[in-house]
Amino acid sequence: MNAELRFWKSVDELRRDADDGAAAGRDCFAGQRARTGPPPAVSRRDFLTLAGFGLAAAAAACSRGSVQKAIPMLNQPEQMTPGVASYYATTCGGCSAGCALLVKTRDGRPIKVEGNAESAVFGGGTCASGQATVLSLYDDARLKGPLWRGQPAAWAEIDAHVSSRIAAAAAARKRVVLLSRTILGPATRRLVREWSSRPGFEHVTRDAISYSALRDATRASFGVDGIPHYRFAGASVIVGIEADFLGAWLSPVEFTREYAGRRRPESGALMSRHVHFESGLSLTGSNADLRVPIAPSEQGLVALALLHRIARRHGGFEVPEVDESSLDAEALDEAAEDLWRARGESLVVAGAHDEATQTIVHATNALLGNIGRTVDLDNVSLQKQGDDAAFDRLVEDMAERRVDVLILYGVNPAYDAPDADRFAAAMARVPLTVSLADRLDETAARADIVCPDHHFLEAWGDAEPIARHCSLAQPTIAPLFDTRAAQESLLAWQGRTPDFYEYLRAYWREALFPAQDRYDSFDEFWDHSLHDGVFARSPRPSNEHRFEGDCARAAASVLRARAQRAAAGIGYELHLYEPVGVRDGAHANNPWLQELPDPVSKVTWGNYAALAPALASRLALADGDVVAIEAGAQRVELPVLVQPGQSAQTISVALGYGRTRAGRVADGVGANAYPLAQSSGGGRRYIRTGVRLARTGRRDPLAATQTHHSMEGREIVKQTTLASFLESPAGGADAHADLPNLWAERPRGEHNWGMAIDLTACTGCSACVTACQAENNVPVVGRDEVRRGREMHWIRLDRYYTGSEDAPETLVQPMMCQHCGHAPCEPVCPVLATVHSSDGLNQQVYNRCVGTRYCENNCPYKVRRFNWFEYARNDRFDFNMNSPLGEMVLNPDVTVRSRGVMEKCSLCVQRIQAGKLEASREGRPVADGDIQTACQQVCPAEAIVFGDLADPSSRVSRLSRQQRRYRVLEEVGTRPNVTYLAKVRNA
Amino acid sequence: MIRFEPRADRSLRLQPRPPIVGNPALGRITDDVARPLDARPGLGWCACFAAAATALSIGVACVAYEIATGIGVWGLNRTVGWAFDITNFVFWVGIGHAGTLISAILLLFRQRWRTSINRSAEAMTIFAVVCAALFPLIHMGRPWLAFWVFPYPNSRGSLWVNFRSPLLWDVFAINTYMTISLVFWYIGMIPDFATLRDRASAGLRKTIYSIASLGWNGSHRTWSRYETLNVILAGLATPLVISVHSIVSMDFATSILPGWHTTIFPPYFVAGAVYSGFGMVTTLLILTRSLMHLEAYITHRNLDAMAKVMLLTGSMVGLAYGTEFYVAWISGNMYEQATFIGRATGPYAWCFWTMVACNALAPQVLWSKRIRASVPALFVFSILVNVGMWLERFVIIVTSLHRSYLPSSWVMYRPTLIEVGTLVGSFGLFFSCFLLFIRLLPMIAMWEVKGAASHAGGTHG
Amino acid sequence: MRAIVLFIAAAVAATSAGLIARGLSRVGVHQGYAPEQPIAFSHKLHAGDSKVPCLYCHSSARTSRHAGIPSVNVCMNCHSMLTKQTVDIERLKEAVQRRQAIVWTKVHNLPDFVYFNHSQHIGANVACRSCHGAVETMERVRQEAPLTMGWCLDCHRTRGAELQRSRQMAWAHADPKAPLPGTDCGKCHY
Repeated sequence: MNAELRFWKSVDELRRDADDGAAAGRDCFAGQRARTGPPPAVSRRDFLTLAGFGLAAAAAACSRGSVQKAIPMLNQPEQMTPGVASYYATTCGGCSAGCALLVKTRDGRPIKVEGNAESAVFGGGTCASGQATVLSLYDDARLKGPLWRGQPAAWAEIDAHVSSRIAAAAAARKRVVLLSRTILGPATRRLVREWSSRPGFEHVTRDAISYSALRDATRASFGVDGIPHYRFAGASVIVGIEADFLGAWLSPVEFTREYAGRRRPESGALMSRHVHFESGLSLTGSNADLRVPIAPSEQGLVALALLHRIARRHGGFEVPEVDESSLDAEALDEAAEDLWRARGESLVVAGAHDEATQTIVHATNALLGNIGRTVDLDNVSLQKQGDDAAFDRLVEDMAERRVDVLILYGVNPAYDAPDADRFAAAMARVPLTVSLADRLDETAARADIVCPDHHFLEAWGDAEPIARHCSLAQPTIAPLFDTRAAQESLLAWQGRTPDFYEYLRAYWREALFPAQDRYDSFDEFWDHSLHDGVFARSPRPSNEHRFEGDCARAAASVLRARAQRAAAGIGYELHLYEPVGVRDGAHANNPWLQELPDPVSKVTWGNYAALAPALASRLALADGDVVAIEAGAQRVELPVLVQPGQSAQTISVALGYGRTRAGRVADGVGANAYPLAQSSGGGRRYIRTGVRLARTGRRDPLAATQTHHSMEGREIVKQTTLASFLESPAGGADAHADLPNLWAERPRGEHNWGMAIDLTACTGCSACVTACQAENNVPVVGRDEVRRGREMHWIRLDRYYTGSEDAPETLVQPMMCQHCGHAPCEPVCPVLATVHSSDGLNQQVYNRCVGTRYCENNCPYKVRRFNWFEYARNDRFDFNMNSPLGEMVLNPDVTVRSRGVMEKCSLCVQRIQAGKLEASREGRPVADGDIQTACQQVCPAEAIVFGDLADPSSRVSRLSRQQRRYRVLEEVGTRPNVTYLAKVRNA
Repeated sequence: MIRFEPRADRSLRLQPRPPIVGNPALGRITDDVARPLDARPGLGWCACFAAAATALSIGVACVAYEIATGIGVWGLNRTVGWAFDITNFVFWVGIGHAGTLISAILLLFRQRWRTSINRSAEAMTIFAVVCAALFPLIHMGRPWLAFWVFPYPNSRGSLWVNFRSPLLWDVFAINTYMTISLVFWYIGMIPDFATLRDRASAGLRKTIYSIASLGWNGSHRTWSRYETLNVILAGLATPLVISVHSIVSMDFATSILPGWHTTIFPPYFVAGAVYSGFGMVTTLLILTRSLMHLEAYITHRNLDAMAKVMLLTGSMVGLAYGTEFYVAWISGNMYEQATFIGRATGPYAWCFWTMVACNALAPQVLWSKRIRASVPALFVFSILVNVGMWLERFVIIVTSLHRSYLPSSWVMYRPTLIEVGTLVGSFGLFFSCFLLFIRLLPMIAMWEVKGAASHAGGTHG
Repeated sequence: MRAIVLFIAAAVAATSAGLIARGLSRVGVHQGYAPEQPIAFSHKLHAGDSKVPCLYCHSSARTSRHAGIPSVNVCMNCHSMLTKQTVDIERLKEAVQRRQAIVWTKVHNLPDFVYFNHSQHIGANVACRSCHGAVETMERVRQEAPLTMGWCLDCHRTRGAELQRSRQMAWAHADPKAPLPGTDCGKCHY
């Protein structure tokens, strides 16, 4: 009866705002192109009606006995069938990487995003944050309409007011400033250019996490405006300096894809080698073949030392000798040697927010002849366009009342600026501030007017993340609330017709249509681009780029910094980083991402101060002891995490937490570390020296999903080196013959579904965790329950450390139900709630389960998850499943589990059934690759392969016959259907 | 008026010793045993009952809260799926064993000293099994569907239970045990009901007793058939003593979990059960004999005999502990070894060593006759037995679960107050039942005692 | 005398037990459920007398898990042409004008933990009437089948076996002793 109740809610909702919204709604869909056919004309009314359907289907509470209602659409568009999913191509707005997406919509509402395989750059994979964007669409904290001085107002009056004020300002030669995040869309960029070209108008771009140093260095070194497009696919030797390019740096999905593409031991010597210098143990560092902990202040020094070595080999290039006493010279020699041997197909990347360091790195790449090969300067990355200097000037001007109108678009400086208070103060001195934020965040709360922007899944748009690689964004649902596309607001305030759809078409007609010759009519071109989602022009051929940077000056400034550091002497160093998951904080209110364990530390719900084990024991600090970090005037209190591999004197802290106005999920989780960053010389630095550490005596236990980090000498993750693999390809896995078994073999059915996971390719990025959560309606349980060891994720990434705790090797292993041929969970269930299917699956039947938990006890892999409470519609678990809005993300094909039942990975049985059904409808056998599990589809590294083991030619069977294969706990005799391929390090 | 002969047993060493002190007249026995049933409850009884009832209500509250909210109110997690719940279950089932052992096996062995304690021992068995049966029920995630564990025809096409599951075997084992024990207990009481019927003045009591006594007329025919029936039932009950706890132990033995997956579990559990059972009987008898002034019937000799049984079974349990470690060592199975090293040295080591102290070492003091003769010493010891045996189950369950195959899932388990409250409640239930029993039913089998007494009298001439 | 009493007692006990058992086995079974509908739509008239095929109105049964209740525009396909007027047709047209959806009452309700897919069964040539009964004779639609799991399985066991055999011949690397996929729990429960 819950379903019914909720249902009526939706209908009331629809009745209330059908009239004002419906029209806009339909426009919003005009000309949309679905992957599965021509466009449906769905108004919000229809959508909400259908949402009812979906909810009824997804509702767990069995509503037998209660009367169920069904409301058909008033006018059902031919293309749209209730219960059948359609896919729309669009572009991800999760971060400024701008990955191309395919969005699965069911009954008119987006429920899952996938990567768009059409994109040559990003491929079919996505990241965890990208996966979670679909939940942000249904975020309660989003504004339901425009606000004027905190009061709801009508668009018309707001527009009138704002335009008049702008006109007045223009007339009075006052300044009107648009402060925006990086704008990826070429159409939007032009719109903004038109806007800011008028006298007195100005546009300032700012990224929450700055990349200015890299841009400036690139401009200075090569005269190119933009960030080099790094091509990891072409790099057989990679040296990273504090750049988490697999986790959060610049374009992680693309980089992971290309990086993993070169981590295939079967390709022999072609397997890339990766050396990484960093202070905190990042996801990228944990994948490196050789990882060297360094202090943050040594980044420049390392770069310089490398350049020095390369220059010596190269000759004809003067680099001052540096004092390397503090560095690991051996590792540097090794790295330099490898780089030099792989001239032209090597790559050095640095995450340093310091122009000098980046200049030196550019020089190194230039000397190595990587320019134009692994470092593409002709088709640059436009993913980060922020200009710190300009922003600082803006704040100056604001403070001095030189700005009359300030429009904030996609930025939240009152939260993420190093000197947020200064910005807030300056903001107060601007006569009119307008925010386009989707929620009343830290900055919007201070604005006079808030004109909420659409969520990107509701909006038209385009993107050009890499020069000449364009993608379109189309609405996958009519706007849920009374919001308006930012572009349309800008248009309106210029006194133009606020129709961005037409503007976008116009731009593509003029700018891109001529650039192709496949289609002769624009509409044809448009329809196809919309259908494919991406339109890539052939990349510009690489022409000569000479390095013109001033290496001497850079070296000098590095050495100066070094000297200052030495002078500072006492105190620790602080290293701030962007975490995988909540990233720069924009995603903080997303419960999926808050509960996503950090890929390395496995901590959820909040940030922490990572300390090296030696340091922690010297200070007698343990996990969960709250310490105060004092840098300059700033003080932040955080619990301690003892992090193996952390550089000795450095404290690492994640940014993006400690939001105060993001919504009920995020507020008060963790502490805001942005204030600890510093603005120096027009650039932002995310490192600090001379930091003090004070014990507070309080304890705040971390919510970690893994608390034991050693394999205890058990062969759970097998690993070997490339060398030994090549000479004896048996790799880590030697016991291949199936061990004798007392059980009778099962009669084999038509299929035997299984999975193969390549531990060498898997980076541990954790996208699969969120993908699985989205696909299978896995509940969020919150911080306390995670502390109690009750997280519900069906797939987890076990992370083990081996070797010394100062410089450990990190091993990662995706672990989900192994679908054992002889499953220990099956014989023990008294009521047959977990049984084996004819096609090799170990099935959990929720509605038969009485919850004895015997299966969980008897599972050697501990992959079963028990519903300790009612997680749906329970105020104790006030996350997405507790609000009618949040529930709209649920997958109607998967039951929402009730309290007291066991659940676990089903190998996405709903997808298997769908695939089988489609095949039999077409009267053919299921083909290999027809069916993809959620974790497989999302994986940018393509580490997971699902398929039919009964078909000897399928990819999964071939992989599970492979030399590196092994099964976890084979000796227990469980005969898992999941095969692992041993980890191979190029060391 | 009875004359107490403190040294009676020594003076009669060469003759069969009387099971009871002195040689009370048969009528006297009836009076002594029936006294509590007529008299108003003493202060001691009231105090005890108040305490028990309080504990019981605490338990009821905790269980109600747990069922209303979810198993999450316990301290369990994704790795440790059982802890207090199944510990208590096995503990109580174990307690239940003494009763049947005493009344059935000792009957077959013609152990006459059992006569004065078997009634209360059987009662204890029944209450213990009730407590035990409670836990498998409330430990379910959806207890309201518990009836699914019974095989019954249904409209699901038809969907049966999983006969391979040890949990299902438990269901049958416990139910059988419960039934037989009840029947045995009741049959045993019939002649006494008759006695009570005859001495009760007309009224409600008389009617109740006459119904309960099923028209017993004490004729020779009745008696001879009655004796036969008793022996047959004893014969039926005897295998159960072995089977029930063997089956319970298979919940663990048939799993693949290191520390559970052991073939010695059945005998080891049975020995443990008898040990804990006798521990509990001793506790109760020492209490009741002072509460109900039955020192004459529950004699030093009873206590001494039971102490000997505990010495034997306790040592068997100790041996089992040793064997487990030895097997783990020679098995060469690293998981097995890790588990047992973990038990002795891991975070729960204190539980393990307390358990060893209580179950393996403590009984050894019983070699000394002086300690066996001292009631306070035995009382303290019997408490130790209960604590130790509860810990044994806790150690087996939790230490094996919390660190099994994949270290990534290793966690700690900490009980919540709700779990503790539930345990307290189960004790409350047990003692409430027992206290009511000694007030409302003849807690000593009069007819048997009389038999024994007359025999003893005979030797006196 | 005593024997007779005993016998009668036994008989009474047995029958009452049987009745109780039967009663319990019908819990949650809504066979014969025929709720009042907002518009007295007669399947007898449409499907029976005027022989409109089921899939004309319930078209999504071919492609979707939901057979779907036809949207008003489907009704209007004919009724915009037909001149015949009744109260119910009035209601229908009113709904169109007021742009207000019609709230029907679902007749066949499966619990939410059961996944049922119409298109799958249409694809396997299962006739609508084999589950929905002779709808073309019903003035008001009635739940004909018990819709219990056992009832589903009867068919899955027999028809499923046939299907399986035919498909095995098509591409068989499967063991004939293998259980029927149609009877896997995971066929409907996930």
